[in-house]
Amino acid sequence: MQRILYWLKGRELLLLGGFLVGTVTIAALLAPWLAPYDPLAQNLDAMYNAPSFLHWLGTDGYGRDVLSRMLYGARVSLWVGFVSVGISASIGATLGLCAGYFRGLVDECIMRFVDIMLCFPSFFLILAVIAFLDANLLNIMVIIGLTSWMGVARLVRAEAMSLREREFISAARLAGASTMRILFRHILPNALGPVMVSATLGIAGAILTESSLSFLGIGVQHPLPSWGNILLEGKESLEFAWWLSFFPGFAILLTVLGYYLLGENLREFLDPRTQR
Amino acid sequence: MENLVETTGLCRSFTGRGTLLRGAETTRAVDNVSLTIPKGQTLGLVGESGCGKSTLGRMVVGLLPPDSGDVLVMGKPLWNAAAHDNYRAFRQEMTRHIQMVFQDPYSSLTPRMTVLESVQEPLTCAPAPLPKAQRREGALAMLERVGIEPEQAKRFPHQFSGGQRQRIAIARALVSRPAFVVCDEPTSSLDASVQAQILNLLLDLQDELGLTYLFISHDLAVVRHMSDQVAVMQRGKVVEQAPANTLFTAPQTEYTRLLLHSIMELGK
Repeated sequence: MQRILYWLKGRELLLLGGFLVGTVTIAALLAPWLAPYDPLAQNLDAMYNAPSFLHWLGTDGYGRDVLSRMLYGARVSLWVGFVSVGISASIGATLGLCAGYFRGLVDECIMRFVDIMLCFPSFFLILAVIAFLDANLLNIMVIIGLTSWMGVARLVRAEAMSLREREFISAARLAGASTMRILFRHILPNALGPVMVSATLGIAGAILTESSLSFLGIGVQHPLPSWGNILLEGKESLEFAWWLSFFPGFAILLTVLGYYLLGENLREFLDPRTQR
Repeated sequence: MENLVETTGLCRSFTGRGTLLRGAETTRAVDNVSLTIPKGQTLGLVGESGCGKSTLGRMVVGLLPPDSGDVLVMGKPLWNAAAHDNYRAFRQEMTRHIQMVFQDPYSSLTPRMTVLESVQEPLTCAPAPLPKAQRREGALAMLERVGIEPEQAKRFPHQFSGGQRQRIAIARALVSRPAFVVCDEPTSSLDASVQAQILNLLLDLQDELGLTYLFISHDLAVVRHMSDQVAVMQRGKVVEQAPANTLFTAPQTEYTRLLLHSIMELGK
């Protein structure tokens, strides 16, 4: 007990973040079992019902249960978050690693490309691309991933630049390790701490972006529920059905907050040298 | 006696970054150095810090290309790509014969690899690697020889003391049974009591495995303890190379006398 308390000291925020993220993840995974109703089933006898014991978070304009829709919507939001961050972290880590390790012309080309990408306001870039492509889930994930890797690239580049001067890299070269092995076995694992942190924060960003896109009606398409498009439907009826906008908005807030807290407090936790 | 390693007129300079008003300055870190290291012996390399000892060491092991000159290892030029049919394969092969023990055991081991993985690396990356079980066995045996128990092999470098880490670094350098090892100030970041242990370990291993050392240090007492021959470096040049006893009893150059005198002063 003493030891548990000691361990917890100063880690309350990490724990709170972990709790929020864990709750949302479990809710999303168990959606089919947790949801009291079919998220797509319309019930025209129960339109705009306020939260009650029958419908905990009320119903929408088609009489669909908001709680069920939000549970399924959590799946969409988290899936988008994980996949797009997976894409952006892989691209960012690979390019950053090459830039920081090889330096010279490679570095110059990659970093100028990063600068170019950063010049575009990424949200409008996404809007423009969505305008040309189908607005389906896959496209949204890929586009969010392709427009958000620059931060990771810069982080990894900085780490790689300092790591490549360390003696263990010389030792690895003397051991005959190939460039690939040096990059992915010696440099990347040591640069992973900051990447994990920025990936966690990136998930929050991706969830927000997806919600914004869905809210604008060009993200996840009706009738598939996502927090953003439940919010969009709630906008029409804000005066008399507050629960339609309040709950999805609150869910986005808590999830993003959870990921931020987790990300901010993860760094210390991930470094083997700071383990108590 | 046959020379295992020979350097012929090695030169290397570094160019600093210039500013708007001042052009870039070029420092000659190593200037026309020719040394010979007889097989099975230790050549001590002394000189004050910044005199180019480490630069020379890095060129000799093959980490830093020289501007001119070459290193002959067993008669083969290490830096002359044109002299080999397949230079890449040759260099890959050479990693088995030439190894290095670095100065700082806190930065010479990959933090996120277990000690066993680190020590196995020269075997894993060898041109024709042994089967996995044999690599593991070889690494464990080498670790045991330097005084690290097999139970400790699954740990990470930060769980060891400086002296233990240097033992691990030595195990990694010797696991592929090299003929030639460059020791770049291997004890200068260790406590005095641990220093002696590491030096004696290096001497024992030299006897057992018939190693040839290039032993770089700024500490004359350490060099005297370790070396058969000693070369003295000053501002990138070798000013004197002689058998250890001769050099310490009858130094030929003014600079060597000055160096010797400085430790006598401290010893008083």
